[in-house]
This record gives sequence, structure tokens and C-alpha cells, in this order.
Amino acid sequence: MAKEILNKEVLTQIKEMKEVDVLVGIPSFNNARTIPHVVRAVSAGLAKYFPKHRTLLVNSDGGSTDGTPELVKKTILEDLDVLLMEHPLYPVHKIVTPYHGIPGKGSAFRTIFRIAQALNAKACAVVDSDLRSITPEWIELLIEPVLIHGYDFVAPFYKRHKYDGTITNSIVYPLTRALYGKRIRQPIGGDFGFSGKLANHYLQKKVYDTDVARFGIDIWMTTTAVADGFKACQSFLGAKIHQAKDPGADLSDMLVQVVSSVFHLMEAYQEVWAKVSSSEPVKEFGFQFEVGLEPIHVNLERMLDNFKRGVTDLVPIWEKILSHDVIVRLKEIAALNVMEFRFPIELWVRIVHEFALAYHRKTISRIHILKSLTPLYLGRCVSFVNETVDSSAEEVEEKIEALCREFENQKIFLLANWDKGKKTKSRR
Amino acid sequence: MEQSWKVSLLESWKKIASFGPNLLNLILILILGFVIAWLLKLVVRNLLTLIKFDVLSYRLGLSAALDKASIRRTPTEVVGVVIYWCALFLFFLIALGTLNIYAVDNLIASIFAYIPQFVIAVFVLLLGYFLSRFLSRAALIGLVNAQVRSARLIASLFQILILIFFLAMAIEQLGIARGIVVATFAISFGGVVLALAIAFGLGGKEMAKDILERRFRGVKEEKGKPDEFSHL
Repeated sequence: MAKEILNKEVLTQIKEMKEVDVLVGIPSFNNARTIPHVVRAVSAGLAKYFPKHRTLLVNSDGGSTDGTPELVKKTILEDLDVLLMEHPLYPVHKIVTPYHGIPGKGSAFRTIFRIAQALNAKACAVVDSDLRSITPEWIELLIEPVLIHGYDFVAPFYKRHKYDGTITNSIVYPLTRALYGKRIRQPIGGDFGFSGKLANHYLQKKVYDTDVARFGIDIWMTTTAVADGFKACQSFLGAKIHQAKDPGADLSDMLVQVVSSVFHLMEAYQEVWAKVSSSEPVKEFGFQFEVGLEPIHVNLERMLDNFKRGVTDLVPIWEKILSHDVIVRLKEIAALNVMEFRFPIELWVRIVHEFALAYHRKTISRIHILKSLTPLYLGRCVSFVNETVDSSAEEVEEKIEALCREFENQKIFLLANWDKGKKTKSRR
Repeated sequence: MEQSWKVSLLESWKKIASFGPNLLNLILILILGFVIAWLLKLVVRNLLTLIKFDVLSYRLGLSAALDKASIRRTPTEVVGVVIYWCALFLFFLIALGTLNIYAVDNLIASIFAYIPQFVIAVFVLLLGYFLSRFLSRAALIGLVNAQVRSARLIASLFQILILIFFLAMAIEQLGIARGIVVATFAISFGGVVLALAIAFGLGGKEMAKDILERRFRGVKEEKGKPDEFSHL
């Protein structure tokens, strides 16, 4: 029997509640500035859209020292009458609990999955605790496809600035779409809806002592749902605005975390993605509308400088990862100036695939493989900004669509080289 | 006179006669040594092939080191050859021991006593080589990602420094000129650190000032506005 991860207090609360229909989880760690708004939006969403259901809000906290759990307990909905058409039959219950295990969002989610399982929740959702743009409608859009339409997994779909989410747009979305055949636009969105059945499935997986518990839970949830054959859809949530992240946060670490999760899952689900040869759209919920987005500053010179420095200094390492012809082409484009700089998509796709192969073969230390991708990624970012400088949101989306098609076209290269070559590079 | 001449001749003959079986033993042990060394080489090579030692060596950078040293054999072959010659050398020492010559016996005893130190020294050197490669590669990538100029030069210096450190440890282990090695290493290492500190202090005075100001006075970076978009 698996060891119980919930504490006695929570187990007592569960015993009193017996069952819930809808559960919304909020993982947190020192989010005192933003979490009251998120709790109010979630509570309003549950009261407004699920008045006849037994609902529960779970805060799974990583040991905040700024009073986050206390704020979650204290925060209540004022002006309920303004918001609600009908008074809810049941109050919105709250469970505020610290999570156990490796510190990280994954461990927080594990606690939420466990509570959902214990209370036999029919539909669940998780939302980030640093959201500034969350509205009560998000809860409806993440829960209803599960509760009413029988879906198991609801991915978020946001309107973002054309330069926002570049790791998602240039690697994660096109690669996961080509691999698993589902066009889920924001696979690492962070705000998801899922069925009780899927929560139970997540809980059975033995990944909570791995990096999934620390990071990579978002891509893991999406990939597991799709690869294990659960019914997936996406809901349009509008704009996603976060609390500003630490400006000192290292891009390289962020890239390593996300890409290593994707590559790791490629190994786990190789038999699944090997059979997929094309992609299909998933059902979309929500009314799409344009969102006003502030112009943002991008320092192209600095990014290009990083790419060029990589070409100057990292070639001996890239030679263990990339083909000779790819390196030759990288040297060619490194000679271009910032205004004329272009990083062709077919070259970029080939690079991502060769990095995935090197990661699979462990040609050198995996952390070195992943970290040496940063200058190449920044080079691709510069090219993307140059290509889309005058483009509308639709034109940008077309560019991303073209990139996705290129990933799908070149998948044959990935497949052809996946199982061979564990020895071929041994004496290069 | 004739009597003493006969006695010394007889004694010499006795010595030669007693040396004969020892010589035969020596030859037999050497032949056995050749056979066992050859078998050992075969077993080790098969074992290493089975555990894909060549792939591991490629990852650890041993293959690159062999390439650099113009050794055209695979790492598995190299280990096989090393094992073969080590085994042969050991059997040669054992064979010499059968001759019962005092000076030779002493030499063999001191060689056997030295073997553990030698093995540890080789292990320290190998560890130093792999560690220096791994850490200098990590440093190179980190420096490039942090947009530091001359990243390759710094990473190479870093690797050399680690190698020198492990070389000093290996020489110390072998007991060769202990005092001189430690003193030389301390002086060189201290010199390098001092040189770096002076270079940073003079060459990077402005940078150091910027870093300290940002760290302790909270002065915001003016040059090169940070990017405002989220990568995720």
C-alpha cells in the first residue's frame, strides 16, 4: 500500500466532506501579493458557474514564509450578490495544506491529485498562484469541458504577445504536436482542467521522486494525458498576465528544465510517438477575442551576440551533438548582421531533432547537451523577431504553423535515427 | 694448492647446478605468464565490449584523449594491451624471485610495495583528467551563456589548473620530491590566483564597481535594457 501523503488534519476534513464534484487546486510558494486575487477569482468561478455542485478549493503550499496559506484561509468573496444570478446550494470549501516531498510544483500537484482521489472529484482544475489576469470564467472554461462534455484533459489557450512564450512557440508546441499528433497550443500553460479519472491516473505514475516533481510537471501532464489516450481539448482563456518574474532568472536553466522534460518524455513514450505520422486539431472551447497587449522591449543585439559567441566557442561541444553540415550552416549564418539575420526553420528543426537524439544517446553529459542549446535558441529568437517585426497576430500564427509543419515533415529523420547510432558516434 | 683449486671448482659447479632448476622455473613461469596475460587480455576485452566501454569512453572523453595522443586503437583495445603488459610484468617479477638472488629479491619486494601507490597515482590522474574535462566543458558553456568574452581561454585555463592540481596529487602519492612538488604547486596556484585577482582588479575595475554597486546599493542596470518577454 502506498504511503499516505496527506496529513491527519486534511484526512479529517476529507472524512467530513466525503465527496466533491469540482475541485480547484492552487499550488503556491510565497505568493502573498497575488494569491488573494486568484482565490477570489476561483471562489467566484465556483460559486457562479457551479452553484449546484459541491466544490472545493485546495491550496497546496511549499512552506511559504510570507503568510500565503493564512491569506488563502482569510480571503473571502465580497459582493456575492453582484456576481451571482442564483445563490449556491453548497458553500465553497477550502483545504489549505503544506505538501510533502521534493520542493516544486509537481509535489504540490501530487497533493491536489490525492485529495481529488480521496474525495472522488468528478472534475478538477489547477491554476497558477501568480496570475493577475485570471477571471471567474477561467474556472468555467477549465471545468465545464470535463463535467459536461466528457473530456479528460483541458489545456489552456491564451492570447499572448507575439514575442511571448518563445520556448513554447519554437520548441515545445511544434515538437509535442509532431510527436503526439495533437495540436495543443499551450502544452506548458500551467492552468489545466482534468477529470477525476485522469487525476487518479497521474497519481499512479511513479514520477514524484524525479525531476517532474521539481519542474516539468506541466509538459508531463499534457504529454501523459495525450500519450495515454485520454480525451483532450483546449479552452480559450484570454490573456495570461503573470506577476513579473525574477529578472535574474537564468534563461539557460529555464530552457534546460523544459527541454529536458520534453526529451525525457520522448524516451518514455517512444512507442507511442513512433506510430504518429500527422497531427489533428483538438476541440476548442471558449469565445475567442482580441486582447490589447503592451509593446515589449527585446534586445536583439545581445541575443545575437550570444548566438555568435556560441558559434565561436561551443563548436567542439556541438560537434558531439550536431552533424557536420549543420555546423557549417551555423557558421555561415553567424556572419550575418542583426538586421539581416535569419535562422532558417528547417535548420532549426534539424538542430532540435539532433539535440533530442544526442540526449537519447547520451553522447556527452545530458546537462551539457541541454545547456549548449541556449545560444542556438537565442539565434532562432532573433530570426523570429526579424521575420515577424511587422506581422499581425494572425501572420505570426501562420509562421508558427509553418514551423510545426516542418517539425512534422522532419519527424522521419528523428524516427530513422532514434534506435540506431548509439555506437555510431562513439569514435567520431 | 691443487686441493683448494678442486674445492672452489666443485663449489662453483654446485652453485651452477643448483641455479639450473631455478632457471627452469623462471622459464616455466614466464611461459605461464605469457599464456595467462594473453587470456586475461582476451577476457577483459570481451568484458569491456559487453559493457560497451567504448561508448562510455566516448562520453567521458577518453576516446578524444586517445585521438589527441595519436593512438589509433579503441579504448577497449588499449585497456586490453595495458592489462596484458601489466600481467606480463608481474609474472616477470615473480619469475625473477625464483632465482633467489638477494639483490633481485630486494628489488622485487620494493617494486611490489610501490605498486599500490602507483595504482592510486594512476587513478588520481585519470580522475583528474575526466573531472577537468567535465568541469571545463561546464565552465565553457556557462561562460558563453553568460556572454563572457574569452570563454574558451578561461575554460582552458581552468582545465589546466585542475590538471596541475591532480598531477601534483599524483606525484605526491608516488613520493617523488614531495617537498618541492607541494611548494611548486602552492607557489604556482597562489601566483595564478593572485594574477587573476590583480587582472580583475585592474582590467575589470569598472565591472567590479558595477557589480558591487548593484549588489549592495541596489543601483539598477542602465545599459542594455533587459528583455521584457517571457520565454515560457
